[in-house]
Amino acid sequence: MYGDEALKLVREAKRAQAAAGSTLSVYNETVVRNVIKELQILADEQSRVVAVIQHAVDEDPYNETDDVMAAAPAAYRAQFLLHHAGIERNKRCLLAYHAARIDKVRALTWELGGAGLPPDVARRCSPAEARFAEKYAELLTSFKGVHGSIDLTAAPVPPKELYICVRVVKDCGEIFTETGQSLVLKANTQHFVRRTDVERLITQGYLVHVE
Amino acid sequence: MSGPCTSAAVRRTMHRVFSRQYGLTLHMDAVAYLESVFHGLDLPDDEIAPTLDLVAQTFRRHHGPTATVVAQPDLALIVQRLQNNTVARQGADGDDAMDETTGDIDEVAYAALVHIVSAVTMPRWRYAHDAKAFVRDPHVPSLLADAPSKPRVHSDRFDLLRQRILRNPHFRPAAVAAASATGQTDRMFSLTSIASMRGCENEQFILFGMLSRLDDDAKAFLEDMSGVVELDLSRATISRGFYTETCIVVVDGVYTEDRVFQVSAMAMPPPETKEMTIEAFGQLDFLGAPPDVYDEWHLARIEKNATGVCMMVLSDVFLDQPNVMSALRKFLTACNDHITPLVLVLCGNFTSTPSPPAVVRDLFAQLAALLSAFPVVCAATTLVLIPGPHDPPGGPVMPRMPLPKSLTGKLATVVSCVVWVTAPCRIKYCSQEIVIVRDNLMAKLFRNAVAVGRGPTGAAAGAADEVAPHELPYHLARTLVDQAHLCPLPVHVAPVAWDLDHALRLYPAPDVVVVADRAEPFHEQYEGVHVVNPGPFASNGFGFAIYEPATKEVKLRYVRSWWTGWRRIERR
Repeated sequence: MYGDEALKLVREAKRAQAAAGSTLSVYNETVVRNVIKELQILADEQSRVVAVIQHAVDEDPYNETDDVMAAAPAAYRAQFLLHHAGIERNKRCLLAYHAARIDKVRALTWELGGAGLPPDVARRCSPAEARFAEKYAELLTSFKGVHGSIDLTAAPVPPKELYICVRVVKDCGEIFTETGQSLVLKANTQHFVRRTDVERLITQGYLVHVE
Repeated sequence: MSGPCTSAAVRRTMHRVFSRQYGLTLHMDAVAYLESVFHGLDLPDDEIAPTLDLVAQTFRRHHGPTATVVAQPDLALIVQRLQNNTVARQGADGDDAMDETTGDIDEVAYAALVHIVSAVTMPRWRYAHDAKAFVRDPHVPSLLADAPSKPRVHSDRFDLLRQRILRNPHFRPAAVAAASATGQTDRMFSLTSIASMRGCENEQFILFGMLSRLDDDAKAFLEDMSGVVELDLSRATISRGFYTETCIVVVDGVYTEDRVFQVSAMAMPPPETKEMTIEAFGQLDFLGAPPDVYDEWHLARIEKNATGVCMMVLSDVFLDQPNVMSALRKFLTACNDHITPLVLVLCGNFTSTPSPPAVVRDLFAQLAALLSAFPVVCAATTLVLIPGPHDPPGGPVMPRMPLPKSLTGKLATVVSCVVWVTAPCRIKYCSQEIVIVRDNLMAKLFRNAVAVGRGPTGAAAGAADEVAPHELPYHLARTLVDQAHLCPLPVHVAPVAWDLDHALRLYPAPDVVVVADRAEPFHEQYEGVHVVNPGPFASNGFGFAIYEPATKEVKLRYVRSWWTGWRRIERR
């Protein structure tokens, strides 16, 4: 049936919304391509119907109006409208699916502080989405730059303590901290440091937080 | 040294831009490096932050979203690249007329644009059908791979070509085929898996799978992920190409009641241009070459304007034959005086008969002595040595390991840049990729073909069981490009190191494939890919191949007066 494929996409988008989390499902390229193919087939069919109507109207000796559609036989008119509705619906379904995914990409980019999507998520994007994510992350980063020293993507709830105790898992060498001091992070050592200096390193797995 | 006050300001800005804005952690040596760069640049205060922002942004782009720690070597490359770009932009803005002439381009060190990638360092991508994406295999490839690697060679080839054919506009999944059976869709095909064909006798199907013979040499079978079916090729129209065992093919036909697939047409899977692959998987690095010091737009401009750049390939350079050495001397004299190649590729075999290592070492010492008489070649050319089937370390397994330096090391004392690589190897130059393989592929594929396609005209003639010799190069080119593989043969015929099979892939399609073969020299162009055989140097009147990347032209020449009619090319 016409529209079945498009409905699959909408269902998938709905499911993803309900799942509410930071996961992005695999881009369903096969179904998207099927829907586009279906659109093409419908559009071809439309132009065929229009040609037939035009022909019928031209041949009709009693026709006096310029409005081709009004003069067309009722059966053709119905067919035309049905196909048109099919095209419109498929288009809306495609847009809804992509909009839902893009929303998720945006939300993820904010969550990650404008660092771009991690590879496992990027792999599930279509090439166009990956490009969007990249550009959006760049945009967000430069927006952060405008606001100078305020970190827009920092957690909205203030942390309980400014200093935390961390253990180094992977060697990071001598790093540069906010105060301008250097900090040597050698593997298997433990440090009591400013939270802001090491937050990124903890999320990337270089350090672990010791309670 | 600038005062402590300004230095502290730069450091504060660095922290604000890199750490707060981009979430990067700077190493102390990176901080010191940036400070020295800014000290040298002497920028006004309000330009420091935007410049740092540009550096951080470029770092993000190159190293991906997960990179956190910024070390000094990474920054050095980025700063150099940005400086190159600035110089180029100023050149382009300042004087448009100069842009097209040599003035601007002469500044480029071409040798730095050539990256020679060995088969063992290429990243291993595998197409995961369920995830619909290429996934990088994290394991380090081993020459002695474990057992599961062997079937994976074939399943990976199959998955790679299946995703390619499914993206082809003429093929689509069955769902739409059923929904749109309106008659005007006859140009579209849908593929059926072998298992789902069972029970549907006397119906027509299009199958996609791997040709095999199983244990019966007389019959042909088709395998896919779901099953296997016997093929009857007696009435098939076969499009051109060598259909060897393990070739992946598309067959159209009827499933008969005695469970044999009566093939009416057999064809290679449709190829895909490099541009289409890049459009679909643009962000993936299939080659694993080190990053260039220029941006893409800049590289494209250099490539277009560098008309003097050429690469030459000689195959079967028998160093033990006196006439080959004298021809080489003639060739090198012309290179030295007329046209100096940017890359000179010498493919084996380097001896006419397999020789003991001591002899090989002596021969390479002679070659080094010969080369030392040509200072221009020694200084400006990158010499690439590719082993032939008889050369040490030897063995028929592809990819073939490089010549041992212990035997050929003398060359390094004479030529400024010698590279010992595997066969096949890849050369990346600007945006182009050139694959060079030394193997007698023509004979191997022809001899092991289950069927050789003759195209629609040949099939009509019926009796013509033989392929015209002048058509063989086209068959070879088509087989390699359509199969996206340099060696579509079973492992007992042409052994492949299982873990390194990905290095034999031609995906995305390269610009040039040099098949250094014992057969007659040829040059074919198929789907935008040049397939060239320079022919054996020693036994083919000293013929060799020249490739000019700027015009994408391939020339087959002979040592006797090949340079006449060429303009003298000035190149740094």
